Amino acid sequence: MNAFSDEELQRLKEITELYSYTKDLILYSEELNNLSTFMPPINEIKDAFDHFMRITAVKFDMHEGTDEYARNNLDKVFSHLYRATFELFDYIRIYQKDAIDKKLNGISNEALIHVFPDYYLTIKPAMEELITKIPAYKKDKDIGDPNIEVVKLYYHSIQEMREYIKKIDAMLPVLIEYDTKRDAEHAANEQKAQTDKRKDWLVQFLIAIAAIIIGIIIGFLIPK
Amino acid sequence: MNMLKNPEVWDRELREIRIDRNELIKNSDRYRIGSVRLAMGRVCSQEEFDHEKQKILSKPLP
Repeated sequence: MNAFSDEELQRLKEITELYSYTKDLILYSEELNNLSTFMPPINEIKDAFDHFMRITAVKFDMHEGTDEYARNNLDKVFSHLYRATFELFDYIRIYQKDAIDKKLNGISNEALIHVFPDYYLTIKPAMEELITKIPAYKKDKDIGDPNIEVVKLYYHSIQEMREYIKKIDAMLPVLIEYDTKRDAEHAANEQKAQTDKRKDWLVQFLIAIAAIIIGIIIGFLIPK
Repeated sequence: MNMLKNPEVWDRELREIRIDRNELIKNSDRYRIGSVRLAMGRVCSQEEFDHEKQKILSKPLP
């Protein structure tokens, strides 16, 4: 067996670090969308594994290849994982938006403003920024210079949004309670207004009847 | 000793996995030992995602 060079080991370390993000994102993407597996990143991971096996085949003398062959294949492993990670960023940001939308469906703006001002001040702007910040990766285009620092940056934004979604979950019972109370108050006020209206109508009706009766009595009493 | 008959296989590209959800569910009894998630059709293809993406992006947040 041919040992890995220091340069190859360094690249393997970067690949391992990148994969730690990719794996976490895969698990999170499944939680977000009904435990469904998003296939494009799985295809990329399959290809990354294939390139990795080409290197180990050379190392175990099962396949012929130079140091450059190993280096190129290590770069391809990294590129496929990088692509998988960007596919996941794109997928997750969309389903994070969907999750927020579904969770807050039916909650009034009034409740959000009064009970959970953080939503309009922080969470909504952050979600809208996330939608525009992470570039949608175009499959057929060159991925440019794969850089793990960019992955860390976007990963951080995704994690931040994940925390905001947990905050929304924690606030939901209070928001629902606020809306329920508000609806009950509205219903009580409406009922009171209707009762008052009916009372007014009855009083007017009685006054009209009394006026008619008085009119008839006066009619009888006044001599013709 | 490596018994591989075609050494060129190492450098061949694998084909993309393409999934038809309806076929997957229809034939799920053929691979009962396999993934429950696959058998239930819990996968999302690029085409399905692109469709959902347009829908989700067009809806404004509350």
